[in-house]
Amino acid sequence: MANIGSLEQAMLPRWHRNQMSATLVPMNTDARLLQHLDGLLRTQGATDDALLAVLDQVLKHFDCVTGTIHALNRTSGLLELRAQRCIPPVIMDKVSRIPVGKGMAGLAAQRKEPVQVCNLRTDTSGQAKPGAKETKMEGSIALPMLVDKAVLRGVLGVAKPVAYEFTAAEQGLLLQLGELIGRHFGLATKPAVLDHYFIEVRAKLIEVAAFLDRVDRAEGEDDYRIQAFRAALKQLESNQPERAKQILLTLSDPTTGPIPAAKGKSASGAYPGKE
Amino acid sequence: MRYIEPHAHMVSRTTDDYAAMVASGCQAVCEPAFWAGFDRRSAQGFYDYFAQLTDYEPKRAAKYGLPHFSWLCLNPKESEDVKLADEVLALIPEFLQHPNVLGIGEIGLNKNSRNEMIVLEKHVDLAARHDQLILVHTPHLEDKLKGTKLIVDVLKSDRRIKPGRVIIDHVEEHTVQLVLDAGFWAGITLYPDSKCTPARAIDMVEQYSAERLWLNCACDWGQSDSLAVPKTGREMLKRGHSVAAMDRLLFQNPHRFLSQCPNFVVPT
Repeated sequence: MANIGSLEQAMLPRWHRNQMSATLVPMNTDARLLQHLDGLLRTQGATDDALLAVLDQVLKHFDCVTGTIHALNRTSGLLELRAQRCIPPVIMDKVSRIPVGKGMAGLAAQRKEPVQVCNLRTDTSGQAKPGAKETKMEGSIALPMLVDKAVLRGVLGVAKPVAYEFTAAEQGLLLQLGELIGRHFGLATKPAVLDHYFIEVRAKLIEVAAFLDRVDRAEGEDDYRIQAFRAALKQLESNQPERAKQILLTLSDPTTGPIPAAKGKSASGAYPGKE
Repeated sequence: MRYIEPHAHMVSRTTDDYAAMVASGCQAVCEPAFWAGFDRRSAQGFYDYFAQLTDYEPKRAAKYGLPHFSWLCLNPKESEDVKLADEVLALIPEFLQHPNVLGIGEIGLNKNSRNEMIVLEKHVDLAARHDQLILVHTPHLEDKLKGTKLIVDVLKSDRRIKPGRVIIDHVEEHTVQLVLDAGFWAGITLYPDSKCTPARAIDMVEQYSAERLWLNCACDWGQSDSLAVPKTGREMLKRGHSVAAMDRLLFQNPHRFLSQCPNFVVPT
């Protein structure tokens, strides 16, 4: 396969770039796991079944027994359990909703970095809640699901029944897995929206500027359409939400009753102010 | 990708469109009656058009393996002549017997005139008397907001009409909420200039409940794209939506609404 230019690669969506590079370089086990789980979530979405399948693959890959996937509820600020394996029923209540800052998962969310305990049973650091010992696990780690390195979407947790310290490489892969899962917990981030639309909408903005210049250079008087257009432009500068809706309302006929008779069939795009 | 095109005026398209739609995953196409670009001079002209929608066009689509369904009415652009409208409405019950007919549509308003309102009410009454699904066209551009409110009022004032059996089409950001809040289905039409772009359509899908939304291309003889729906599906995937979410919006939603008509038989 021919190599593609770096500029062309940069213009592709990020996931596509990863796929392209994956075809150029032989994939290792980690890359195959990421690609497989990405495909699974892209196909099914972040459903409960899909998340449990993802968690099982992660646990298998890291030779772990227990695991959790929590999603951040942006309204409540709580981490809500979406998938789990081998969490004892006696602590399920405490695990199902976790405040940011509490326990290993809460601390990972608060610090936006991995929180690791080599042996939950003997830990005295205070990072794990007392109930964590009920899991009978020892080597355990919680990692923030950070999308675009900044947007917190949840926490991924895995644990082994033996004392264990996850290596830097393992933590790196778990963070990548967390980001991958986190992408499916919400809409596109600001960087992703800008990557996707900025150039296209920039061109439209310049079209608007050139149109206004063209109208100004033309002879004759302004009519209701350009007046309505200029009124609508003010909505763009507003910091209020629903700008598209507000502009459509500005351009709409504000009256409420039927007109006596239709004099034509077409619409002009702005309300002329009289029939 | 699989999708249903729930609103396309195929009589004004070439067979290339059928071939491209099928190749893009189209499983069924639904064709509402519409304005021909000129006013028909007599009810006989409509009779021929209804015959085209219920007999000739399904056969043309079948050559490409695409199931074709129709909606029947007199389009609001021709509603100013109430006498002609009465004559045309009298023809419709005969055509409701055809196996590809889904209901009454696309009725509605164009310039929000009194006669358009009268003809809209007559269509709603016809649909209620014959227990038909309803597909509603909402006006263009500056007339859309007022027209949509008037249409919702007409439909809500007739107690025989169940909102879940009515789709109000061509919604935009300023009308989608009022249509959904009233319990109706809402259609988003993807046009290059007027109506809605793929990006804005997905914005609406992300902001409002997509349970009662569908997408359509409404392609006709004007500037329009018969592949706008699958292109919007691809845009959804680029925005991070799952294949399952895309399938719900592009296939399962229109399938769920249209299956309320026993004539609509498309395998899931």
